[in-house]
Amino acid sequence: MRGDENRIAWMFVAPALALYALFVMVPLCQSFWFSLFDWNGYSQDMKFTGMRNYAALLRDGVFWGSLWRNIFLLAASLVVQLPIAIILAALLAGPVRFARVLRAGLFAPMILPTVIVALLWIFIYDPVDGLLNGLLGGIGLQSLRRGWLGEATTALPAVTVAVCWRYTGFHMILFAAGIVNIPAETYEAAELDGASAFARFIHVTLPGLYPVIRVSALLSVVGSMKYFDLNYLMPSGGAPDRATELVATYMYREGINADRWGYGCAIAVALCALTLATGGIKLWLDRRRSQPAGV
Amino acid sequence: MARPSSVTAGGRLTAHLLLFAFFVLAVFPMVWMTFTGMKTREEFTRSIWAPPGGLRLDSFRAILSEPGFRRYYVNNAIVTLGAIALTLAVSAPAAFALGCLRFRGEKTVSIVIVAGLILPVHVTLIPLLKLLGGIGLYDTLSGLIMVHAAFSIPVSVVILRAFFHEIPPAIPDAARVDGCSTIQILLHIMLPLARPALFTVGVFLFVNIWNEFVFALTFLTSPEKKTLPLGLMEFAESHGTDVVSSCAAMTLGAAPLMIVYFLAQKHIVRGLTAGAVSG
Repeated sequence: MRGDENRIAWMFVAPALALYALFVMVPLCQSFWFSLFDWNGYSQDMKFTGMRNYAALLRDGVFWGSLWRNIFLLAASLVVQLPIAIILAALLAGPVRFARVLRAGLFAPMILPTVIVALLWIFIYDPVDGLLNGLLGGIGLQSLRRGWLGEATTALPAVTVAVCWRYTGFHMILFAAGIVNIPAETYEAAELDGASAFARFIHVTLPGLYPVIRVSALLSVVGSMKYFDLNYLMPSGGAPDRATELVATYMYREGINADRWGYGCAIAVALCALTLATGGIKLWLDRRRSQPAGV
Repeated sequence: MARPSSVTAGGRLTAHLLLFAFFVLAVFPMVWMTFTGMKTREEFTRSIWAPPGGLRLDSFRAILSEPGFRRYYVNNAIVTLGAIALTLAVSAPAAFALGCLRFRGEKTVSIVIVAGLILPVHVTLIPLLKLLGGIGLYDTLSGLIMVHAAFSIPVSVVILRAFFHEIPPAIPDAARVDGCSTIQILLHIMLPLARPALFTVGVFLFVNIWNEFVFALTFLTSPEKKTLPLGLMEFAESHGTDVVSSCAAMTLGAAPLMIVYFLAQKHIVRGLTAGAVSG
């Protein structure tokens, strides 16, 4: 019977494992292997160069610049997206009219394909008939009008705003679910003690949401390190000096668009390591912080 | 959901104003896109803000009459449904084995699959390009389906395994006593019970694969193979300055999922969050 169960279980696992191995695990290992070569993809001639791609990467200013932009995106997600999401979730949990409609609308950007999000925000930021410039002109701030995606200083913040626009509603939903799980008695007790709505938010909602905040923060941290879509799509050749380049988009441009497969794979491996490392650091910080408190 | 309601009138007003402001911020670009698609070119040149003069669907009709554009929908549907079917077909038995059976190497299999949850997909793109070229699946919808399915296995297995694990062992045990084989238990007892979990996974995969961009961009080149997101990008590029047509195309591109979202909001939201949190 034992051996039988063993055999059947493997039969059940095998198809998934085969597909997963062929298209995920093997390519992952190949990325490490290819990163040791100087290779353009087409030619038969793969020149083994050992760690030379990695040495080049460490001296590559574009790579460090891209990494820095990932950190900017990470900071923006933590400082902009999460607080707004928490506040929206807390407000929606209160006595609000049309809460369902508001919730549905706030989450809706998550349903759009990133390609549409990118195109929409390109129209918003258009230097000539963009909505943003139109709005600024309309309220008498003509001096602030500019080609938002075309200038090195504004391109990255502009794309980051679009990223926040898409994902804030998602975090809001996570927090809304977290608030529902906070026992109603805690709120009632705080209310009996005469706590104002704001005090209840600070002393009941926020601590009660702590576990969800952790999950959200982890998703943001890992998500920001490997982010690609809008930073690749939105500049559409407009932004100067790789103003919105991230590690993943740099990997794509080097490896796929410019056919430098060896170097592209080295960037890919660095991306993988960075994602795992930031995720790991985040989890380690969580654990360290929670141990003394015994949460 | 009876939250305490001792909120001052001012507080309540502020809450409504804030929520409404963010609601407008979230929804306005989409409404603007839809309205712009209904405008005439003259109306758009006169004002980018003004609503259209009427419910004009000419731009939409013109785009839908292009066979190329309709092809994008068909391709997208083939890829999305194909990938979901393949994912569930391989993930459900695997999740059942991992959740309910005991076997040698169980831990290793489980760790290897769960590791896929945090892996950035971009790491594998270059070798995948070579692999698909090598087995003749580059620039084919079936190749794209397999890649999507492979990358969907970790999330699906994790969600389904948790569900199978919750099913009391007495249920499969009773069936075994009645003479059911393990395969029959999976097909006739566990899978019907797991319908809600399969549905959640399906919804998560549907939204993600329907909207997916990077894999399609990398592994497809022929115009007639392109998926909807790629097609929309192409359309916008070739209609560069024609904002009205681009907006009409974008509205059409967003429409299927938006309609589903308004009909089954709860399921979509639950599916998306369940998938992302497990991953």
